[in-house]
Amino acid sequence: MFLFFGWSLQVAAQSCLLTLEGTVRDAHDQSPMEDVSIYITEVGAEQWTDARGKFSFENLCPGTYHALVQHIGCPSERILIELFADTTLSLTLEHHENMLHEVDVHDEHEHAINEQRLSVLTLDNSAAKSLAASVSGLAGVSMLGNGADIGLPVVHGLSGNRLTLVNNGVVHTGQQWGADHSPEIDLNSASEVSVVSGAAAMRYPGTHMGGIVILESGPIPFDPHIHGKIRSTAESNGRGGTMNGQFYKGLKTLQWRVGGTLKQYGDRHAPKYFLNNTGTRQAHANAELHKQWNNTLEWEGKYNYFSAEYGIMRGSHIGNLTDLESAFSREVPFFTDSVFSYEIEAPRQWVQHHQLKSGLKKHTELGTLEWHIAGQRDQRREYDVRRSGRSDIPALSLLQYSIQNEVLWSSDWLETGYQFLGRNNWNVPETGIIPLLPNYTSFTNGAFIALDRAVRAYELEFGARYDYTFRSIAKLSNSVPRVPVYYNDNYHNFSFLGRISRNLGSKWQVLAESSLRQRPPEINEMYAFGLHQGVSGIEEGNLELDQETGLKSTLQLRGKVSEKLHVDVRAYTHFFDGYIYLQPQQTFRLTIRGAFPVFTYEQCDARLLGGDAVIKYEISEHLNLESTWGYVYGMNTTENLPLNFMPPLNVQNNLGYEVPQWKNWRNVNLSVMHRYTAQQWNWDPSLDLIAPPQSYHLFDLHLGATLKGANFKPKFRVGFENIFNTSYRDYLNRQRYFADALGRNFTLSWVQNF
Amino acid sequence: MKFAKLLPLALVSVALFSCEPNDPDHGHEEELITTLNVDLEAGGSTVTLNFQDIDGDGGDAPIITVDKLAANTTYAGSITLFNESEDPAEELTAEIFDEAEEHQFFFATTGASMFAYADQDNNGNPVGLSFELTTGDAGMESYTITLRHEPEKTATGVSGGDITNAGGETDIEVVFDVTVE
Repeated sequence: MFLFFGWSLQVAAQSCLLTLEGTVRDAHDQSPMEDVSIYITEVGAEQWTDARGKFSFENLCPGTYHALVQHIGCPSERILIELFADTTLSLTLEHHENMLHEVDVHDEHEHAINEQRLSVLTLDNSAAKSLAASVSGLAGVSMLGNGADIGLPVVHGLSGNRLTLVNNGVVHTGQQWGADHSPEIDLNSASEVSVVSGAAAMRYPGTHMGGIVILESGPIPFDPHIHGKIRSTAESNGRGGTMNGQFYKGLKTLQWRVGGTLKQYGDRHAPKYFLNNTGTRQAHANAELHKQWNNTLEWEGKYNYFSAEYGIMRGSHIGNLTDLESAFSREVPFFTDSVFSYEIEAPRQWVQHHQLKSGLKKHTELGTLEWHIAGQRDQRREYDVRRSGRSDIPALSLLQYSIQNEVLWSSDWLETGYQFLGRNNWNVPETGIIPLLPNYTSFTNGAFIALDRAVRAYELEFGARYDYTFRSIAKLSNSVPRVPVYYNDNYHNFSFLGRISRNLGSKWQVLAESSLRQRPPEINEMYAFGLHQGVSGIEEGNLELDQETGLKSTLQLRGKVSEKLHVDVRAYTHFFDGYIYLQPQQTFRLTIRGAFPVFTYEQCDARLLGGDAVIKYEISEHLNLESTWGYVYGMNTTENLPLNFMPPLNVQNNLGYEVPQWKNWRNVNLSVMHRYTAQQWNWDPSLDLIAPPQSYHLFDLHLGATLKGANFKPKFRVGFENIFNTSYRDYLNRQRYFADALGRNFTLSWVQNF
Repeated sequence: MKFAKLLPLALVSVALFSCEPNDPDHGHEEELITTLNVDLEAGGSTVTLNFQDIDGDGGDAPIITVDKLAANTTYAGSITLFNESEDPAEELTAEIFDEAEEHQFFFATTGASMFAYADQDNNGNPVGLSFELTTGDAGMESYTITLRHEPEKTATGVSGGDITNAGGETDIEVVFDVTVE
């Protein structure tokens, strides 16, 4: 929700006879809004707007007041009013954002239409979820993972090395390879989360071929008092919960915010059995400080800490291919225990991430000059079941330092900058196992330019980016005697983007975009060597790999069929030259643990064809329906074979019923969610060991409401996820080889703004 | 290192790390089983089956040596495990013996040979470091010897040597093509 207000003043008598009145209008058509609650915290008085959108408070004393503006379908918003005369407020509310936000005609490319955002309400409701699980509710976004909490977002079929995460303007660096490495970010530190696949993506270094996921902590509202938000959630499945607190204060030239999250879960439960050793423990802290001088110079400092421990289902740990095959034939996974436990034992993962950032901005008449510098430290330890007490010694131990430095210039129509990204990735020698990945340093120098021009009814954008990457690699030789082997490589990568959009009348908007992007082969794709549990095979890097180039073209149309029916439809093609994928070889490698298939990274020409759609229909004033569709079809066009691990067709239908008031409750909303995931029929049996799981339907029910109270208005929400306790397996989750996904879950959450 | 590459670091004047990667060092690969040796003793003479893969999972192919067995003979078998990537080689048999409750060997054959456990852990379940092998008539057979870590020894058939319901992870699975004559 965006809220704009202005006020006009009339001189009136001092003492407690002041009047505060105003009108609330819809941001889109300026129509008056009825049933908006205006609550003044200091005097505990509440007024509701009438049919003309008007409200009025009388007999107020001069002073500073906080007014809480609440309307159904919007998160509550607080505004600060310094009352020293009779005042008339003019409030503009981004009403019912899930319906109307879509057809907003914008002039800043930060709010480009080729972008999807998670609303503040969604963020409040998913405080207990992982980043990947939350963004997977957006059209065209899925989740690739292992178990309930380990997951990576997949945007238009691309993930891992092909997707970049940006946290507070800094490219997130950690271990992005492999489906079982979850990004080390807590969703609760962000108040703005968006998935961007357009020109804004040119601005960031990284290896994104498609989209990027951007998290921002958001602006701190002006208010000389400490405010904040506490969000907590308890869940029955896993018998755990999450508690998050954010506190902030916004003075005129100095603002700060601090926050933290604690999360703990025990063993999750599939419909028919416990998923033993699937607990999670997570802690997170964030702090930031902003300072302005003379409206022209500003500085911000941000710090993020993230630490987590994830249990990996005991029954999914295997020694060789025979174990994997015998796991497939089990109705109930091996090591399933009927006793619930919070214990997290091997196999497990432990990660810790620090991010520290400083940003300086200088505003001039011509534009803004920015300098950002950020450092990150990422540590990851993975523990396997090992002999003779060695389960407490990590089987994989990685430590990575990275530094990002950038200078940016932006004006109304131009954005340009220079960026440096350096990394040092090190295998800590404590494992007693030959590491899968080598030690390496990687340095990228990049520059970009983005132009944005409105020509008559058209909005034109052009972006170009160049990155020079230089890497040094030190690994152990593949056979005995083990000696260090050194490699150097370097790449010139170019990216271009052009797009054109225009409004068709006042109801429709159309966009066409084409982008060419390159990425160097990643370290694991070139230098990995060893047994990789994730693929149950020997994984070998390929030194012969060249850059991967992708050409993506998107056509998007959105608008209003009628005042009640809104649609947003997108279709894309993505052609790849040198698409890097894991190809099983004809040979098996004999080891003391049996014969393993050998997988080598190879390149092919590939083609992704996809589309997604969001359809919103306002059935009546209180009832609305939202339907989200996503599908992508991937082919290896060199060999005319399907590309594996592409998200199957998925559909989400949400029927929402909302009433402004019911007894002591406000903004009562009830929603029934139906999620359908089809079976992936487009797959290559030579690349997978077992057929994709069958299609499934899931149903969720949520009921939320805000309690009418004197000073504090808690918001409660109860939910039943997977109501019918349906047994299903998710194609994009590695746990599907061994066990069903989560069964019924009862959730209770409480959000308190203050 | 060229000046151009150092420039950005100079610009930020923060040297968080060096420009060269750390030298790889994996420490002691003390857990690695490179070698499985089976001694089969009958009537005072010993034959052996040996599987040796010095460089672990990748790299060079393993070396498998198999002596000939006599038909219709009962052998007293014993298994020893080594890590020969270390110098001197380290014997790992004791690691299995010390955690006998968490380990079990399984024996399978494509022919007429019969295997029987000749040892027990503290719970009275078999381990398989010692066993008895009775060969049948002359012919070619394949013996599969499997070591499972954390099997469910109480599951149906497991203590009798049936691997079907054992679960756990496979630490060793080797196949010896033997000639019985």
